Amino acid sequence: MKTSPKNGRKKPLYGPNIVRAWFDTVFHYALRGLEHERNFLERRNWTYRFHLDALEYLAPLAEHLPGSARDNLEQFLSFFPAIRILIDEHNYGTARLARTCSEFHAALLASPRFDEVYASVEAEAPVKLDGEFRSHFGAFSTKDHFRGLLAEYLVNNIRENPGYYTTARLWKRYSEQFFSVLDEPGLASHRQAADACGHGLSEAVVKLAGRLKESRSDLSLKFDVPIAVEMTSAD
Amino acid sequence: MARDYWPASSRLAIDANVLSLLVVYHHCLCANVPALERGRILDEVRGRDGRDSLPPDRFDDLWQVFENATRRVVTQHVMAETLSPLRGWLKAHAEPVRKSAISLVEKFGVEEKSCPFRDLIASPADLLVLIKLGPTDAGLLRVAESIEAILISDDRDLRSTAWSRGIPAFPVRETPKLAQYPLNPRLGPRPCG
Repeated sequence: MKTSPKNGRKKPLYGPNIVRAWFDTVFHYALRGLEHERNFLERRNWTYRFHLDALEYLAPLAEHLPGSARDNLEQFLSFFPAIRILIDEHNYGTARLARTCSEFHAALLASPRFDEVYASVEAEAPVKLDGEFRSHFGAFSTKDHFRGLLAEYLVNNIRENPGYYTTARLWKRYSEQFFSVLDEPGLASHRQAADACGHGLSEAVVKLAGRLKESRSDLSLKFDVPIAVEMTSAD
Repeated sequence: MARDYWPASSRLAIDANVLSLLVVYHHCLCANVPALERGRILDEVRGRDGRDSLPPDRFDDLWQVFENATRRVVTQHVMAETLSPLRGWLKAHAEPVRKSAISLVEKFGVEEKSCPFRDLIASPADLLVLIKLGPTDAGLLRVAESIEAILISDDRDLRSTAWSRGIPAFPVRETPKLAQYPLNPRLGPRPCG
């Protein structure tokens, strides 16, 4: 803090312009990203993607911000180090969940029971669902991809896909058979680990979002900067 | 009546705001843009100052609907609006957007129907829509009605008018509802023309 020569009071190093920029480029995207994360975590959908071997929509906080806004985040955190700690906790949670999902997916692909169910579905589906097995997988074309995708659904707790997904019919009919694979002790432990990581991340998301909202409200009142400046009607 | 899966006869009529989203989604896929960034770009293209932000997987749903439809129909007006962006991300990336639109049309066989102004004037029902909503919307409704398509649009007035003419219409936010839509919706006869 600087000291004003006139009244001897400390002047903040930042003012309404910088606060406005933080609201528009940091808080807006960070809180929106955390809200989306919360929705996925509530559904226990970890958004794991086998072809990326990563989580698609759960990520370190900075990745929810446009690249150009990350310097503003750093500037904000230089004044609010307590929030940096919460962000680190959140980021650690996403990394831990990603690792757990990756291990879970690998364990599924290595499971003889998963192979057994896959083989029986591959043999039965063309007759029961009338059509080539590969027709259920859209752009995916190899057996490795088919197995990878179905294992991904298990990792992400996808019980049913909307009807416009190419896998919808197949998954609707056979998902229970595939989910029964998770009763195997070796796989159940992976599932529990993913649930525990997801729960931990969920708590970190709620804590961080709450703290960000508090800071935003404090800054808004202190600098007389409205949280939102323009409103448009939405459908 | 809920159905098990998207029917083989699914036909989509696509509004300009939705076609823009699909073109940008396609561009992001081809350019390997990370999913979170893709969601941010699509939200920006969708507009509304971010006050009506969609979860990123809603755009994935929209893409699946588009990819798995048997017919995807637009009008020349819709295509022209999409390819002549006036502002924002679309204007700043006009060239890749146009390249992506070309690829989208070629790869997915997007049908582009013409709807001459004179034809719209000749039909009293279309004329009313033309005056109320303009030529792009009037033409799109006429085409959607003629092929019994489901309309996807983020324009509330257009959707409302569509329903009043028996054309099922959904915003992007409600894409998952398409999965529950009756298999063979009985569409009423055209009010006129």
